[in-house]
Amino acid sequence: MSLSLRRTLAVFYKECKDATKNKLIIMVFFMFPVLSFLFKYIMPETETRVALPMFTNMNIIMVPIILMSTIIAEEKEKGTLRVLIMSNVQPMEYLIGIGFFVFIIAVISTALFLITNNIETTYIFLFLATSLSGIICSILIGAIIGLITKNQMSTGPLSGIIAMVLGMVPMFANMNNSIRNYSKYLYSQSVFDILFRIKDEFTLEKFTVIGVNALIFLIIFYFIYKRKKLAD
Amino acid sequence: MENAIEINNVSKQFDDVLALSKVNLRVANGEIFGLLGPSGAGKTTTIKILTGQLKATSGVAKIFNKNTEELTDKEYSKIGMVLDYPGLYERLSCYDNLIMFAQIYNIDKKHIYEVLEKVQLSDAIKKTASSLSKGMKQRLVLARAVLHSPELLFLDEPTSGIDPATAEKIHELIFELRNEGTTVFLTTHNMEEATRMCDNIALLNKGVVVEYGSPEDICRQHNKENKITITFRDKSTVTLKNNKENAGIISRYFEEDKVLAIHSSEPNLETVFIELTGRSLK
Repeated sequence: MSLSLRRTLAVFYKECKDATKNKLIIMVFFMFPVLSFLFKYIMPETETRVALPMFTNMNIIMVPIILMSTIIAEEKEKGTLRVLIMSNVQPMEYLIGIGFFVFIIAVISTALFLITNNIETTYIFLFLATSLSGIICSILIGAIIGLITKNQMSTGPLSGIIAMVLGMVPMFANMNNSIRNYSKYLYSQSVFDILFRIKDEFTLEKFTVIGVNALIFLIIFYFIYKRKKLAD
Repeated sequence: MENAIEINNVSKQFDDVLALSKVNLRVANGEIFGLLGPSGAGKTTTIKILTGQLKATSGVAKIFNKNTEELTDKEYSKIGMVLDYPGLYERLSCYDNLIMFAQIYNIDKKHIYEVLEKVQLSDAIKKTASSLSKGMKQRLVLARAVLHSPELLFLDEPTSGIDPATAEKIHELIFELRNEGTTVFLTTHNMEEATRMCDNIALLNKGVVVEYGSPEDICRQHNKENKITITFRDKSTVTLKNNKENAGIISRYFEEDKVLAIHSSEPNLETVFIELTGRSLK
């Protein structure tokens, strides 16, 4: 059965309409940009130098993981996913439709940091390229969690823990070199390093780490998808 | 007449539970077929096998002459389903719940208004699904199931837990669909619903089909006592065996102008089911 753009877009449009009424999506979308604005105007500049890239990084890590996994879990739990699958929507069409929606939300949300982080025009492309690659890694992780969990109850803690660990590790690595020895292989560390010192840290090595992470998540996603599809 | 559904020797085993045992059924095109049985009899399992959601452990189930394990876009586009739960997007309006499926099936948006009119939900078009009553939700689910004018409609307990007035509306809609040529496969544990609506039924108990045929034929076949109940003008009743010996007595009652009504006391599906299985349908 071939993939249909029409059905994929139907899923995407549905999610867009639902987003305006879904408190979780609205809250997650604004959480880190709002925190970032508050920090920027409340805290002294010395404090915000690390905090703002940290919030940006957490936004890139947490928003896609939490949204992707929770949307899938909610649809599994409420039976809407089964109705969709029985209505001829392919599991992959559904995942692409939802993934595309989460990607758009995460990109818009991350773009708000262009204002708070005072990114120079020359580095906007690097900022966006790093953010987009990080978001893709996070979407894949969210999709994996959505595939393996059965409902929102089981998804919430798992996606929360994974997103927190990935998002917080760069902060701890800043204080502890032994953690950094391991975290340097994580995409979240590379994304943070680039966002923190965008002029110096946008290296091939960092970008390779993000690429390899994305590839690993894609392979894991592929095998889990092949085995489980979207079975509840 | 061609069959829309054929089930040949289908069995389904879940771990140590045999949910279906060598079930054989035929549903002709354009008929309303009822699968009747108490909770846990295997009704939903049968629907899941027929719609490709479950694989049979053994045997073959076919819809439109195609094995249900090999259903494609083509067959799915001819099927409508009301499952055992609504599966509605609670935060979206009735219209938005349907427009998504109109896009999936590539149907003109105008058809949404027609279908909502059909299920009498035109006034609730902008209401969110979460604000609808249970009966209205069920009608919206039905609207979603028939949006693409399916040839075969599966209804899993369509009127379960719904008030009689809404159930009546749903029955009318099912008749209307049948008159338009849709084959309807419904499961229910409501014997009155089955008797009234179905052309043919199968009684299912613990995964085994214990009786199959039209509701009238089944009741007639099990009318072993063959009795007649006479209601007199003074509202009293008498039940007599329907035989030659009692013919004279009955004729005398008529001559004396005592009879208000006379009817055969055939069993209903509930009593047939109890007779066959020793348990109630409910």
